[in-house]
Formats: sequence, structure tokens, C-alpha cells
Amino acid sequence: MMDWLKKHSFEAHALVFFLITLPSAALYLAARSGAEPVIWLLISMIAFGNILVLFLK
Amino acid sequence: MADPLAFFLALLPIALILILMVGLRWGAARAGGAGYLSALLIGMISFGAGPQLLAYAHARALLLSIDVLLIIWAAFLLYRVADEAGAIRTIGEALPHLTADRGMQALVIGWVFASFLQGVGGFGVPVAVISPILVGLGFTPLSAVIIPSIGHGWAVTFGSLGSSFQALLAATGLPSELLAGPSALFLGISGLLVGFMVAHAAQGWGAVRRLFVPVLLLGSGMGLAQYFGAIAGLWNISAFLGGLAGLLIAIPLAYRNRDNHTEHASPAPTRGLEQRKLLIALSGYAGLILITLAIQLIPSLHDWLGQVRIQVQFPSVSTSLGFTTPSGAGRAIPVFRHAGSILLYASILAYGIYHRAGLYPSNAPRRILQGTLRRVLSPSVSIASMVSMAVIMENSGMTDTLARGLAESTGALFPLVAPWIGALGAFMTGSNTNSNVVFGALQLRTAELTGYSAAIILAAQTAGAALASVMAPTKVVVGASTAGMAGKEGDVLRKLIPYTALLVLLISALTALGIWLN
Repeated sequence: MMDWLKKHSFEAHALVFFLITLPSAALYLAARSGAEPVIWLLISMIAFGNILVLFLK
Repeated sequence: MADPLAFFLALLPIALILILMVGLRWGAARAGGAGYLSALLIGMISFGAGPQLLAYAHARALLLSIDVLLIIWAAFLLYRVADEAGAIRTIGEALPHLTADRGMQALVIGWVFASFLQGVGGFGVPVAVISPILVGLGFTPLSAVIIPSIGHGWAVTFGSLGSSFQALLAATGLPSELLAGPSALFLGISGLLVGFMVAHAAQGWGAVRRLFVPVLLLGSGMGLAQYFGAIAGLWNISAFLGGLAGLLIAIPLAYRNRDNHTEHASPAPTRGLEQRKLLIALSGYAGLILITLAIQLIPSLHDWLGQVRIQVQFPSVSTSLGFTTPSGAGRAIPVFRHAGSILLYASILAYGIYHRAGLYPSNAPRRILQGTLRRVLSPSVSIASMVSMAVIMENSGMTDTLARGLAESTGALFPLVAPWIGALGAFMTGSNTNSNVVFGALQLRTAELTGYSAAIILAAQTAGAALASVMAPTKVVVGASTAGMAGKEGDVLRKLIPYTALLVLLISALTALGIWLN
């Protein structure tokens, strides 16, 4: 996986960017409807994106 | 201090970014990710941020990120449109022909042209473009990096078509009418000192004395153009206007000095064809001025483009410890009148002009878009992470805890400290924009707690950040590599420190004076 991230830095950054931003939009709707499990799932996706970026050069 | 442990925990995400970027030389995107994760965990565990609060904080952060990123994406697109057509190179090549005076060359290219480039591009472009030109003119590689590095700092806040200033507005929620004046005033005054520093870096104290009047004329012209542009609501192009005013003053001024100090260069008057090329190169940016002025000054066009707005209403949210973020509308984004959209229109117009002039090879559109995407992706990730971190910190009460701690520990000295906080943020995150995102709300809250003018404190924040951003390791690396000084970044940094420290000290003094007069 580390090799893939190194070789495909652009794609990996794009993936991280979408992981950070897209769930944020859905979080607004989830919060309005009070769907707590969905909120945690979406926050986990954002956190995963931010963990992934730690491995990017 | 009320609760040292809470203060320490609130400080941790910011300290972590600092340690990772400066100590371990991580990039802004990676460090931003680490900062975000720590803010999320600390907010949840120690400050009682629940799922509702976190969900709305992320949604707020997304809006703020879009607000800033639209400008960054479109500003770099415009730069790539011009660069791919050879417009930047044409302007850069024309300037050395104006004068043979080495000190004057440093002023015109390393200060005025660097400021102009910061106005339209930014992102380390001024140093990357100008350092090789100065090396070619016979400057030492070290001077060739130092001169444009110092020279463009004063134009950073309103440069990159206002992205750093937009970040300050987004992070604080304050209107541009309140913040533009003091910020432009501080930066304009520091710009004058920057001019003398550029002369000093080029040829020592002799050049400072000899070029006293040109520095005064250029500095006043650029500073006033930026100031009046900013207070007139044209803050997204005010650094560009400053740079343009500088070029308009510099060309006749340099021509007057063209016979002085001929030992280092050989001036040649620009020929007809070159003048035509230069005019075409500049016309792409003239389009930006015309579009911006039209949108700002024609009320019907201004209103028509402002009809479609993205704005979201957020309810009041509280932590389990009782810290409450009141309800309110998030930042409004006027889709077709946003500074990013104006830049997009200018990019399309510039592309049309350069295309008609036959300046593009066949695969230019693809190269422009690919170059833009590759360049903006990493900063976009870092901005999205850092904005999320900043909003989580703000909504969970961490920023408030930090601000209370700062207010208690610095007390009456806070105005002197404020620009250094901005400078530290820019140094650690690599940009004025990031510093404003991370520290904007903190500075505002501390100003509210200490009772000082928020406009002056935030002007100190962004001015300190702008001037110190030139010392950020990422920028130094870019500058050193383009001047053939790769591996000698430490030499560049050592030489930049005294100049930058003096500039931030000046901002401290101006802040104290502003508070005293207010």
C-alpha cells in the first residue's frame, strides 16, 4: 500500500480530498435528522482521510 | 491561568503542527491531517464535543474551505493560463532592459515585479520566477533568493487575488469593510521598509542611501494603491493594483537611472515586436482589472451576479461542559460574484486573448488544466484539514480556552504579541492563508477578552503572517532550488531571519500605536 501511495501521489491526494470534503456535506443532513450512527460513520470517513494523508509525501 | 491542563490540551493540535512542520519537516497536508486528528480526539474526550456539534462543525468547515479554495484554484488557473502562453516570461524578460543600475534592478524586479506576481499568482511563484532572472543578471545565488523573498512579503495578504484575506474573513466572520483598511495600512507601511531592505540586500547601505527617493516613490505608490484598492472593496485585486502601480512608476524611474552604474549589465531598449509581446502579455491581467471593476462598480451587474448564493443556517450547539456556539447563518458564498468566479472569468478572457495572439501550442488547454490540478491538490487537502481543525477547536471551546490563557498571560502586552502569533502560524504552516485559518478566531476571541480593537489585532495577525510567510521552509526550499542553492536552505534562512524579524517588530510597534490611538 505504501508503494502505491508513493507512486500515485496525485490520485491519493485526490482520494483524501474527497474523503475529507464529501462526508462533511452529508454530515449537515445527518445532524439535522439526528442520525447519530450515520454521523459517526461519516466522521470516521473524514478521520480515515486524515489518517491516509499522514502516509503521503 | 484558570486551567493549565485545558490550556495545554487546547494548544496541542497547533503545537503538533508546529513540531511536525518545523521540527520533522512534514508537508502542510500531512501536518494538517495530524492537527485535525488531535483536535477531533481532544475536542471529543476533553472538551465534551458530541456528534451533533462535530457534524455541524464539519459542515461549517466545508463552507469555509470552499470559500478559500475557490480563489486558490482560480488564481492558480489564471497564473497557468498566462504562464503557458509565455506571458510571465515576457514580462520578466522585459524588465531587466529598463536599467543597468544593479540596485534599481533589484528594486524593479525583486520588489515591484515580485509584488505584482504575488498579486496575480502567489504560492511561491514570485521567488521561483525571479530568482533565476536575478542570477542571470549577475546577482549571487544567495542574493537572488533573498531579494524576491523579502520583496513580495508585504503583498501576500492581498496577493494570490486575496485568498489570505478571504481566509481571515472566513475564519472570523467579520466584514471586509472592517478589516481591509488596517490590514492594508500595516502592510503598506511595512512595504516601504521592504523596499529599503531589498536595496540593502542588493548592494548594502550605499544603495539604501542612493535609492532613497526611488524607494520612497515606489513604496508610497504601491502601498497607497493597495490601500485604496482594499478600502474600495477591491481587496481581491488590491495587491495586484499595488504591483501594477509599482510597475507604472518603476518604468520611467528606471529609465531615468538607466545610465547609472553600467558596470554590471547592458541595457538594450525594447524593440517594437517586444513591446507588442509585452502588451499582449499584460493584456491578460488587464482583463482581470476590467472585469473586477465592472462587477464592483456597475450596481446592476453586481446585484445580478449576486442573486445565487450558497448559505446554510446552523442551529445552536453546546458541548457537555456547557460551551455554546450560537445559532446563525454560515458564510454566504455568492456563486457568480465570488472572487474565485471573477478569476475564472478573467482566466477565460486571458485564454481567449493569448489564443488569438497564437501564443499556445496545440495541447495547451490540457497542460493548463493538468498543471493547475497537480499544483492545487496538496494545498487543498491541507486547507480542508486545517479549516476543519480550526472550526472543531472553535466550536468545542478550545480556541476560547487558548484565548483566555493568552489574554491572562500577556495582558496589556497582547497587541505586541499578536503579530508574532500570526508570524509563527505562517512559518509553521507555510502560508498566510493557513495562519489566518488557524489563528484568526483565536486572535479575535483574545481581542474581545482583552478589550482591544479586533480590526487592529487581526490586521496585526495577517500582516505578521504575510511578512513571515516568506521564511516558511516550503517557500525557502522552492527559492533555493530555483537559484541553484538546493541543500543550502539554512544559509537562506539565516539571512532572512533578521530582515523578517525587523518587519514583524515594525508591525508590533504599529499595532501598539494603533491601539493607543484607537
